[in-house]
Amino acid sequence: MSSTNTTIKVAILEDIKEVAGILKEQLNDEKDIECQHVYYNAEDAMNFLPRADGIDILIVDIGLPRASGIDAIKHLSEYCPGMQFCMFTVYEDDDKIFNSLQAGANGYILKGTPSEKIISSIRELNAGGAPMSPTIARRLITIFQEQKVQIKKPIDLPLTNREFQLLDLLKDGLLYKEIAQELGITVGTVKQHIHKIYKKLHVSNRTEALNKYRNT
Amino acid sequence: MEIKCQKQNIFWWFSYSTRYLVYMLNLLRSLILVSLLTYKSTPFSAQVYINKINDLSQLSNLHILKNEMNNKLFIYSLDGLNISNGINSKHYRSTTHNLVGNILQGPFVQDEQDRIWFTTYRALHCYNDSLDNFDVYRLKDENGKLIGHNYKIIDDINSDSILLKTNNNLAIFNIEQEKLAFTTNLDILNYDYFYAKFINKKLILLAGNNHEFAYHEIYVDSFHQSTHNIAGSAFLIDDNMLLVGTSTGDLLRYKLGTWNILDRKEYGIGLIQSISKNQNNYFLSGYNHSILLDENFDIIWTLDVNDFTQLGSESFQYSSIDWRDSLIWIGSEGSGVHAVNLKSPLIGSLSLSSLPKSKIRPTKILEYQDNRFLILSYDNPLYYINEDGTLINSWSNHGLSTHKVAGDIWNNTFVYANGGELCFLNPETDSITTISSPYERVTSIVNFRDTLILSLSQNFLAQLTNKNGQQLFDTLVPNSNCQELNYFFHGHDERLYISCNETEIIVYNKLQTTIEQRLPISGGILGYAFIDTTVLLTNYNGLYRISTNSLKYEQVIDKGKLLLSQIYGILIDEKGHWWLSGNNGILKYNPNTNKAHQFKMKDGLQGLEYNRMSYLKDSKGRFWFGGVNGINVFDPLKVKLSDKEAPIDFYNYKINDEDSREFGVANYVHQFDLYHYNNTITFEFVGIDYTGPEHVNLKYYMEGHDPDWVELDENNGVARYANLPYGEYTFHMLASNSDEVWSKTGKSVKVIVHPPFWATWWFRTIVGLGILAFGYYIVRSYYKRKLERRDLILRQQELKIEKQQAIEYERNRIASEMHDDLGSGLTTIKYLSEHAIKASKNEKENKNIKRIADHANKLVNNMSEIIWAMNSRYDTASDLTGYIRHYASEFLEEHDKTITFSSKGISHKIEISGEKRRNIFLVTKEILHNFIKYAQVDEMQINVKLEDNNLSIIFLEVGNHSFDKETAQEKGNGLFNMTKRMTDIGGAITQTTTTEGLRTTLHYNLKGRT
Repeated sequence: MSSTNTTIKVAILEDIKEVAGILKEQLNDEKDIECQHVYYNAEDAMNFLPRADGIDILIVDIGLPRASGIDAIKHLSEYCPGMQFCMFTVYEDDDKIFNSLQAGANGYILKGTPSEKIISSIRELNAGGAPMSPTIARRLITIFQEQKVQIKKPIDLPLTNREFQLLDLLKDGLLYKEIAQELGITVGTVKQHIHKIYKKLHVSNRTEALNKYRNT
Repeated sequence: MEIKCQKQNIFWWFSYSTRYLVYMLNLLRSLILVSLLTYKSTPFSAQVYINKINDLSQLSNLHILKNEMNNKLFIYSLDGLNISNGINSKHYRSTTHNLVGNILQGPFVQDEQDRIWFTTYRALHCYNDSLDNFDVYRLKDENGKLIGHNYKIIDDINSDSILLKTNNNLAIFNIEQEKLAFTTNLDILNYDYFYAKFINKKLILLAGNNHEFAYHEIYVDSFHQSTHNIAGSAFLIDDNMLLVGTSTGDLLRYKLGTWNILDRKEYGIGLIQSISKNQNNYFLSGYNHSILLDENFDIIWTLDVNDFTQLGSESFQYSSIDWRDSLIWIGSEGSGVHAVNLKSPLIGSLSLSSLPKSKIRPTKILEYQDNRFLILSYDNPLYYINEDGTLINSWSNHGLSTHKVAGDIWNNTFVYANGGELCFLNPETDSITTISSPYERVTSIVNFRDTLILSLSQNFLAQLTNKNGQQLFDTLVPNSNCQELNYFFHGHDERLYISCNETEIIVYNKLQTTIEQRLPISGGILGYAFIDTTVLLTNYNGLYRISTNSLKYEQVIDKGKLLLSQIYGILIDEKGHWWLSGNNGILKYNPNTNKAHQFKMKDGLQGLEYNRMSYLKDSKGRFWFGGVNGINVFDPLKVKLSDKEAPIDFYNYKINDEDSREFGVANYVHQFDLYHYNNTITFEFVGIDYTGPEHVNLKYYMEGHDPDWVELDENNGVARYANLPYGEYTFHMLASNSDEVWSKTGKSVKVIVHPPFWATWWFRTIVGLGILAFGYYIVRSYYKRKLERRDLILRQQELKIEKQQAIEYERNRIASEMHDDLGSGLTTIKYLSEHAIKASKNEKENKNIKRIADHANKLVNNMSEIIWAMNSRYDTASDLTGYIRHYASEFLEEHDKTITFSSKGISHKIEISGEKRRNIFLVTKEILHNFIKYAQVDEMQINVKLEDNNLSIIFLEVGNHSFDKETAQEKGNGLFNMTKRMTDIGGAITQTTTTEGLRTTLHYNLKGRT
């Protein structure tokens, strides 16, 4: 969900102070991004963030001292509606990302990517796009296919055919632009589709019991 | 007789007709008497058949009763009771049965229910047939005191009362109430024999001894009256008459109550010991003789004491009698019991008592005139008799008493040979004429159609014809080459059948005067007969049949082989049966059934041995057969075998070869219930026929076991079945009577052999089911065990897998933690270095710092690839393909190269493990890096395909034809590493230059794994 404000308000939840500090700096260097809140553990974030005003995006590190980033996402997605969560993680093919996506994350940033990419990812997320790796796509296909089979109520919509198609192409390793070419849409639309897919994942997670899906 | 019919006045007519009526009645009566006399006037003196009852325990002091219910004889002696069936007897003594005392006193009494009552000295007994034991009654006198001795039955006086003596009292025992109804004091001590009868409410008692007896009339309400003493030795009350026998053999008849002698008859048989009556006949047993009388007290026949001594009895001293139907049983002191058959025997005899020598052995019997007969016999005169055996005349002169007179009737005379003469005797005129004959010894003479044929001691025959008053002798059959031509007969064809040396029969044709044939029949000629075209010839070997047409002969042998004996005479009756006399009695043979019946001594035979040529069919159709003891004369058509059935006495059975009473008295057993441990059963039975117990035949048949009836050779039947198999059977016993006529009904008893419970069908079914159930249980538990084992194995495998999974999980967790730590540390390094770069203005330093950061980044990327490879979630061909594509696309795009990617046959169902994926990806990375580094071209085509489990990844550097040596060397090292990586996982890498460009192909065989 894009923010109506021009400035994107970002909060950081990261336990390594140096990393959090540098990221904060990098963000604040940008004109349209503002980062005022940094938390070093999930409890603080859960405690204080709801009181904080109008935070658009929370960058969440998964590996936190006590409660994990996923717990924080779960908690905060209830208390801070409208806030988007972006995972901040080392590996893309880690199950952690998928788990957090299921828990409510809207996207992810790899720690190893250069700062420009981090900034652009935030902007994308704010604008309604989201990244996805082939492996994530493959897993999503599996889940949504299972869902297709299991869902009896028409409320919880499965993915549209288009979205399935998209996931399929992603899973096969096509780049966004190849996908866009294939589907006849722009890359931005591709990313927006991904965003929607994540939302549907959240919805379905909230309504169905989580242990219906296989977790690691 | 003609009756003249006169018309007279009524009165006269009435008296006349009355007289006429009386006359007719008298005539009728005498006619009847005459006919009766005629019937009886073939007197049967010594030919009465008597047989002795065997197997008695004692032979004295006998009382006899025939039990009509079970057909057995009850015989009592000083040694207990014998019950006989005619073949064997069972003995009952106080030591073996519940008899009280062994000595019987008084006769048997049979009541209405067929129970037998008798007294021993000590008690009254009643025999119970179904239990084969006795009920003992010890009676109480009027004071209630038990009477301990001196019991003696006197007689039965009604059907329900017995008169007996107890102590010295006379008592009446009521059978139904089983107690004494009346007692009285009466002096009967001196009397041994009693007779009692209840007439008009008074009891008439005759008590006597050998000299006299007392006549008492006793009124049951205890007033008694003794009225008379009479001298006599035997007595019988007969209607209103009293018959008294005297010691001199006379019979007196008194009117009962008046004591008028009605009649006196003298028989001269010595002391009369008993008088019995049965139907209308009387039997008087005297000291010397016994006589059978008709209703007029005239003698029908006499039994001599000799008739008994012939049976081995030394004397005949009557002790008791029982008379039923036509059998009379006489107990004789010291000789046991004899059964006398009063019925006239089947085969009648000629009474020759009027002849001087009454014992004759006839050699020829000839009918001279109607009903007058000439008898030739050994060493006797020639007798001329009437048909009743009374003598008319006899001759012993003129060679007529010599041994072996040969003769025949010819020309109204009896012709015989005497030395060199032929004599002709006319029995009526008592004259003998002779003519001389040229033959010294004539052995036999036969008249055939008025030609006399003589056989001579020389070996030829002669014939004598009467031609024109002249008597001519011709010789016949010269050159016969026989020593003896004694026996011959003339066939009704023109042939002579002559016995030659008793080894063959010469058939001589008189017309052609030639010997037609010599038949090899040996045994001589003893008798002959003709039927149509058959000649029957009898001799020492039996009976032969010769066809006169073909002269074919055969020996006639009956089914029972009775004809295989010496046969002397043969006569054929009007029904076509052949009657044969021989050395085995008389046989009656039926040629249609080929069965012969043998008549026995009991049937009235004069003996078992008959004489040759001594047989005749007289003008009345009667048969005469002469034998060594006399002559049997009878009408063959009137000989009828008795069809009276011989009942079966099933007297004993044995279970497992031991006498048993398990199922009760044998005769009363309906069913034997046997089991596997006692299934050997023996049946012992006889057939009862007192007219000839030794001729009774037996057969038996176990229905359900035997294929057919089994006939026994002896008259004591024993049938033993050992180990009878399980099942239901019926054992049938059948007897034939003494005339060998089989009964229609015998006796049958059911036998059931129960299988032990372990052989019954239900048990076997249960066991079978049980075995099936058990077997099922075994099989089931085997499979269950197998399943359990399998489950166990599975569980173990599961555990193993779980364990492995746990290990793997743990490993993954550790690895992941490591990766995380490393990754996070490395990225931290990167951030810190960026920070450092920002803070530092020194370029050289920045460069170094950047290198640190790059290195850290590279490490993170490597670790990322490791994480991807390690995650088993991505162990599929499609994951590998997708990963390669994504990486190749990004990488080449970064370096501004174009990439065309295609795949075929790839699916997520095809497994490739992490190690393989990693190696293939690293090789792919190497190829791509080489491409960027060395290739001069811009386009790469990557093709991933899976065919027949062969995975091929083809990298085509489009347009790359250059082959730089240097680069090749460098490349070579890389190629070496890549090759090693591929071979490490069992794959291969090839590099070829093609028209399109440099092609590098990775090969990997999935080995059937899908």
